[in-house]
Amino acid sequence: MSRFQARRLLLGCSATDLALLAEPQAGTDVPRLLADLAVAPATAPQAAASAALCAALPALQAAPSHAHFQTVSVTLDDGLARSFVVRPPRGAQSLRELRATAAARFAALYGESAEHWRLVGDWHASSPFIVCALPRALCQALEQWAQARSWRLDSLTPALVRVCNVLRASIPIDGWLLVGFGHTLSLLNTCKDQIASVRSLALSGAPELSALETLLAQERLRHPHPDAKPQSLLWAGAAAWLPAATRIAGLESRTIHTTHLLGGLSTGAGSSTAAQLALAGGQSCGA
Amino acid sequence: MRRLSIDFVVRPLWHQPLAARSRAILIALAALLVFAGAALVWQALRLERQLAETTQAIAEAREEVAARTPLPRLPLHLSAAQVLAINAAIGQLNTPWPALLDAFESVVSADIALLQIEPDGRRHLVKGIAEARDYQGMLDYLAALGAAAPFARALVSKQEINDRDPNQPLRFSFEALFEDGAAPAIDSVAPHERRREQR
Repeated sequence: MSRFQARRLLLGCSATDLALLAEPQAGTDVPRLLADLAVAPATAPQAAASAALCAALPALQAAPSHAHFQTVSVTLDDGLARSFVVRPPRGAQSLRELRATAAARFAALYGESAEHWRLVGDWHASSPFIVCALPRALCQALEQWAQARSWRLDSLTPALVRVCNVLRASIPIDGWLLVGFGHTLSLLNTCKDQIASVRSLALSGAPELSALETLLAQERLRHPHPDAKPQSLLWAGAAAWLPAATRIAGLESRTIHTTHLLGGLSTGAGSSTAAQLALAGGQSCGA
Repeated sequence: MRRLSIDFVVRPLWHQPLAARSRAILIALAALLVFAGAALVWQALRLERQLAETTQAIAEAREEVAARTPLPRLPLHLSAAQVLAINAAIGQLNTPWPALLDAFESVVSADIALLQIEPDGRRHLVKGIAEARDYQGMLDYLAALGAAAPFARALVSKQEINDRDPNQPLRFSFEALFEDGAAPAIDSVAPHERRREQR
């Protein structure tokens, strides 16, 4: 057993696969892939993908030699979650009011009750905040999966939140953060250093630069900027299709590949979307 | 941009941000206040018990001191006649005999025969009986005696010619007042009553 044996596991969950990584304790080591599992076809709808994940989770087994791991951090593909922005009602004072507002907003956006969803937000009473929703069944399946292995679930959050927290100092004050993992693109619009909108899109395949420009133009039309201040773009994630251009759709642009921040995967760790998501979890907790 | 506090895992209390911990902090403060209040109440009760014990001990000590202390002497009650008699005795005792006798001796003359003197301390005078050759001798004697300290004046109270004496001297009685206010006297009022009047 290595002296620098990792004690934390990183689980990445995408709509198509699961990947379990061992986080290194020392900087000399790199994350190691312990197990991975293909789940469902990429074209599966969100509800079906969540159900398939719940069904596949018990089959994701790590080697018995890894039973000494203590915690596990889970990063979910943004396509598995529903993220939206809530503007708090005027005079809201309690968390209960904010939760009720978020539930009402969820019902208005998605046309269904939030009863079967677990809503967690970056609650603020005076400024717009992000709320993420996950199917309760998926949350419970992950908790039971960790509990069955005597692991403590340390963190469970979508990739967008992970990337936001890691790169929050680099996010444009006025502009867009575009997070790409696999075939999911999440767009976070900021205005005066506050969140204006958030949206996750499921892409049919690896988009071309022109398609990304078109998509971005459409999103800018959906959320017109009130000021004439110049906007900028920050692309982040691990998708191979993230553009490297410094100017896109007339806006200044730069790209940060999150895979490089932690030194990448070791040989044989694979480069699946789930593995990249798991790596994002390691960066977030280490930041 | 600020950090997003979004996590579907309910973290332990000590891992939560301050905003979520405020309730726990308030609960901890409330518990601390309750503990402090209980300690204060306990301390107050302890002090109250100590105070009661001390009061009881003081009362017992007072009773013991009272039991060991002898009864005070009864106040001295004197009748008016006794007071007068005592004052008279004190007056007699306080009569300044040396000064009086010096005064009598200073006015001695061949024309006057002093037969008797009797002090009256209460009235601050000396009664006397003397014989003189004539009236002028009597007057001169009384004038000289009245001017001799400690006498203030001397008055004749009775006079007669002694016919049985072949020289027929003028026998007279006199009262010579002397000035000596230092003689103590006892009032008819008892001392404890005087103190009460002074209050």
